[in-house]
Amino acid sequence: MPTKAHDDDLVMSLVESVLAKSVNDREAYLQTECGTDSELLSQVCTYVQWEQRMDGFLLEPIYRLNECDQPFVPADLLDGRFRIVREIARGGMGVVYEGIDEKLDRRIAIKCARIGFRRRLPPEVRNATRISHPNVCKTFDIYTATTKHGDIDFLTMEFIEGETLAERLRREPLTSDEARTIAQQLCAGIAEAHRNQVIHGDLKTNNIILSSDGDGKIRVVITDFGLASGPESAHSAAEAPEVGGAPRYMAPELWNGERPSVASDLFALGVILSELRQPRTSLAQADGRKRFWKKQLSWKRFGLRSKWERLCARCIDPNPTRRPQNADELLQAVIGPSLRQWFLAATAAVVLVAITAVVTYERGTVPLDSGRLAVIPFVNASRTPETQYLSDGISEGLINALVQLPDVKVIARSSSFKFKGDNFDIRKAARTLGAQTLLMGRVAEMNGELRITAELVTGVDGRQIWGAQYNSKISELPGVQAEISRQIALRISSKLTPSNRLKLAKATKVNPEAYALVLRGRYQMRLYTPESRKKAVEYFEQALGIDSSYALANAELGVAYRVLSASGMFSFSDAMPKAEAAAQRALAIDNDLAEAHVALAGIKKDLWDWKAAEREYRQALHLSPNLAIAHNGLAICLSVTGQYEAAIAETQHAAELDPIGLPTAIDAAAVYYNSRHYDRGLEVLKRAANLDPSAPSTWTWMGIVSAGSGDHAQAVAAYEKALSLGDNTTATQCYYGYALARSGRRVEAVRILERLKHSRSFVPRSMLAILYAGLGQREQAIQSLLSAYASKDSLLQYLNVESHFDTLRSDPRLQDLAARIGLPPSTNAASKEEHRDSTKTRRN
Amino acid sequence: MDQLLNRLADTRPEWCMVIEVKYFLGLTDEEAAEALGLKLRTLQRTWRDARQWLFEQMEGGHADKSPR
Repeated sequence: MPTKAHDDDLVMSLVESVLAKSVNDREAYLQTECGTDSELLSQVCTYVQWEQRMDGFLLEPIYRLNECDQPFVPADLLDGRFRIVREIARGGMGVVYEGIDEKLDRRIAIKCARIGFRRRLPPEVRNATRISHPNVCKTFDIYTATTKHGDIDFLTMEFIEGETLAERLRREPLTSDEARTIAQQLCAGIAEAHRNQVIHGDLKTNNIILSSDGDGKIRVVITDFGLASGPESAHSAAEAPEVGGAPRYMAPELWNGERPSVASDLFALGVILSELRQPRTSLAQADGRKRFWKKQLSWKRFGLRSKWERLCARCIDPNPTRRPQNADELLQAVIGPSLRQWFLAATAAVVLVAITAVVTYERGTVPLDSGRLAVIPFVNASRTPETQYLSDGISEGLINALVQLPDVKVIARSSSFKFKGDNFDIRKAARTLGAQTLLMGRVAEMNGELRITAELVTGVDGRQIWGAQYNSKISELPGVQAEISRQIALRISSKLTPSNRLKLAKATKVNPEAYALVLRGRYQMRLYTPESRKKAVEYFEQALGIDSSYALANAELGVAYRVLSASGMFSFSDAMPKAEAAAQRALAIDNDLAEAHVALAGIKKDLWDWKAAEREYRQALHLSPNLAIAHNGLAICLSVTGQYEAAIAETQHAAELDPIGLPTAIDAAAVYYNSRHYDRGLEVLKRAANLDPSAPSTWTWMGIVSAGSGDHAQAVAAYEKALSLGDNTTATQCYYGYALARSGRRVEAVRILERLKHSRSFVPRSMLAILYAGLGQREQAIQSLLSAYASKDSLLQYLNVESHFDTLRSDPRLQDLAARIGLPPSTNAASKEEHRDSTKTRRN
Repeated sequence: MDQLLNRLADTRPEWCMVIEVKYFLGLTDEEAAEALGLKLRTLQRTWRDARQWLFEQMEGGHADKSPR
C-alpha cells in the first residue's frame, strides 16, 4: 500500500512550507507535521536539502514567455486585499508600489522583487515586522501573490511621503542643523533595529526617506529591510541574503562574502554620516586621495583631531572588531557638542571610502569550484572604432591578470576572442571553450567618462553569479580593471593568497595615461599589418615617454621590435638589440611580469640562445601557470632542441587553455612537424581549418606538414590556397617552390627562385635554402644556409628539425653549422631516413 | 547538457519534457501542469526530481550513472 510519502500533494506542499520557514524553525515544524511517518520525513528532508544545494539551479528559465519585469500593474488586486495604485520606485532588484489595503482602508507601500530576481523573500524579512520606531519604516507583513509569472512574495509597509536622502543631498547641501538632526534620527533608528536583532544589511542614502512629522520637523525614516536578516540565524548558501546595493556603503568583509552584521551596518552608517556634509558629487575626483592627505595634514597642524574624528574613522575601520560596538555609542557621540569638528572628520571619512563602482548585484556569494573561465571580449558599446582598443584592452588586461591564479584555467585570448559582439549563445560558447564560467561586459565611453559593466555567468545556463557597473574616468581604468579581477578571483579561485592578491593589485600602480597608450599599441599589434605594428611601436614609445619605468610598455615594445624584425620590416641587426634591451628593461623594473619573461624568451630563441629562452619561458609559467603563449613558446623551444616528448606535453597544455585559438593550433602543428608526427600535425590543422577556413597560415602549415610527410601534391594544393588567401610572404613562396619542384613542376619552381633572387624585399637566406634543396641544388642550398648564419637569420633555429633540409643533412658543413648555433647533434636524421624509406615503399 | 537531455529522453521522457517546458519554454508550474496533463503537485515533484538528477550529473560529472 502506498505510504503518504508517495502522495505528491502532501510531500510537495510540505516542502514548500518548510522552505518558506527560517532554518531554525524547520526541524520542529517537520517533526510536528510528519509525526512518526519516517519515510515521509525523509522524503521531505531530502527535497529541502536538495533545494538548498541546488541554489536556484534551472529556476530562471532561459526564455520567458511574455517577458516583462513588472510584477504588478496598477489596479491589480493582490491576495484579494491589496490594490496597486502606481509604481513609485525601482531599484536593481526590487520594485516599490503605492497601494491601498482595502481591508483596513489605508495607504501602504508594497515591495517585491523584480521579475528575474528571487521571487521568494527570505523568511528573515519577517524580523523587520518586530521593529516599531518612528525612524524605521513599519513593515506589516509578507504575502504571496499568484501571478502569471508564478508566485511572487511581497511586503506591505507603511507609506511614507518624502524624498530620499540621496535626492536631498543631490539637491543642495544640508545645513549643520539639518545634518545633525538627520544623523541623530538615523542612529536612533538603527540602534532600535539592532536591539530587535534585525540587521539592515543594505543601508544607503537611497533607502532613507526624509519626511516630516506633524509639526513640520524633519522625520527620517529608514526603509527597505529587503536585504536584512536576523543576526543569529544560520544561513545556508541557498538562502543567504543577497549582497547588493551600492558598494560605497559596503563594509570590506561583505566584499569577501561574509554576511551582514551590526558592524557592517555601522560601517554604512559611518559613510552616510560623512555624506551628510560632503555631497557625493565631489567624491569621484581622481585626485581625492591627494586632497584628503593635504587636509589630514592641515588638521593635525591645527590640533583638530577630536573625539568625533576618531569615532568616524572607527566606523569605517576595515576591521569590523575595531568599529563601535553599537549604534547607541554613535548616537551619544552625534548628540555631543563638537559638531564642527565632526564635519571635518566626516569629510575625511568620505574620501577614504570613495569607490568608483556604483551598482553591484549578486546572485550568490559562494565561490564556485575552481575551473575554467573564459573572458569574452567586452562589447564596445560606443560603437565607434576609436574606442575598440578600450574594450579589447580591458578584456585582455583581465585575462593577463587572472592567468596568474594557479587554480583557475583562464581560456587564452585567441580562443575567447572568437566570440565577439552582443549576439552569441552563452551555452554554446561555454561548450566550445570548455568553460564553466564566462566573464562578459560592455564598455561605453563618452567625453572621457567610462561606463563599464561586467558580469560573471555560469556557462551551463547563463545564470548570473556576479555583476557590477563602474562609472569612471579613463584615468581610473587600471583601478577598475584590478577591482573586476579581484571580484572574479574571489568567486572562482580558492587560492587567493596574499601574494596573488598583490599580483592582481599591481595593475593599479600604473600611470593611467601610459596604460591607455599601451592598450592602443596592443590593439594595433593585433591588427597584424606591418603599418599597424609600426604604429604600435610608436604608442609603446609614447607610453614610455610618459613613464619610462613602465615595465609592461617595455615588454610590449620588446615584442613589437622582435615581430617587426621577423617580418622583415626592420632589419634584424637594428631591431633585435632594441628588442632585447626593452625586454631586459622591463625585467629590471618588474622581474615578476610574466609578459616580460615571454618577450625576452622569444628574443633569446631568435638569437639561438636556447638555454636562456627555455629558462625565461619556464619563469613566465612559474609566474602565470596558465599563460598559453608561454606554453606554446616553450613547446617550440623544446622541439627545436630535440626534446620532443616534453614539447608535445607543453603543446597539449596550451591546447587545453586555448582550445580554438589559431596561434596555438599553428604552434601545435609546428611542434608535431618538428617531432615528425605528421599525422597529428595534419589533424590539428584540419580542425583549425574547419573552424576558420579563411586563415591563410593554417593552409601554409598544411602545406609544410604535407611536404614533410612526402605528399607534395597535397602540399602544393595547400600552398595555393594560402597564396589565394593573401599569404604571399617570401617564406611561403620558398616552401611552395620546394613542393612544386618535388612534385615535378620544376619550371614553375625555378621561376619563383628567379623572382625571389631579384626581389627587392627581404628574403631570409634559410628560406631560399629550402627552395634550392627542393630543386636539388645542394651546394647553393648549403651556401644559403651559411649566409643565413652570417646574417643571424633567426629561422636557422629550425635547422635540425626542418624536414626540407633532410637531403642536405649528410653534408658535414650542416652539422658544423648546427653545432655553431648551439643545437645538439640532430637526433632526427635516422628517423628521417626511415621515414623517407617508408614513404617510398608506400609509393611503390 | 544537450547530451544529458538526450539520454534522459530515452530513459525518463517525462523528466526531459518537464525540463523542456519549465526551463526552455519558461512556463509556470500551473501552465506546465496543464500542458503536460499532470496534477500541479505531481508536476512540481517531477520538476524537482529532474532538476536534481541534472544537477548531480553536471556537478559531479557522473556521466555514466544512469538516471534513477
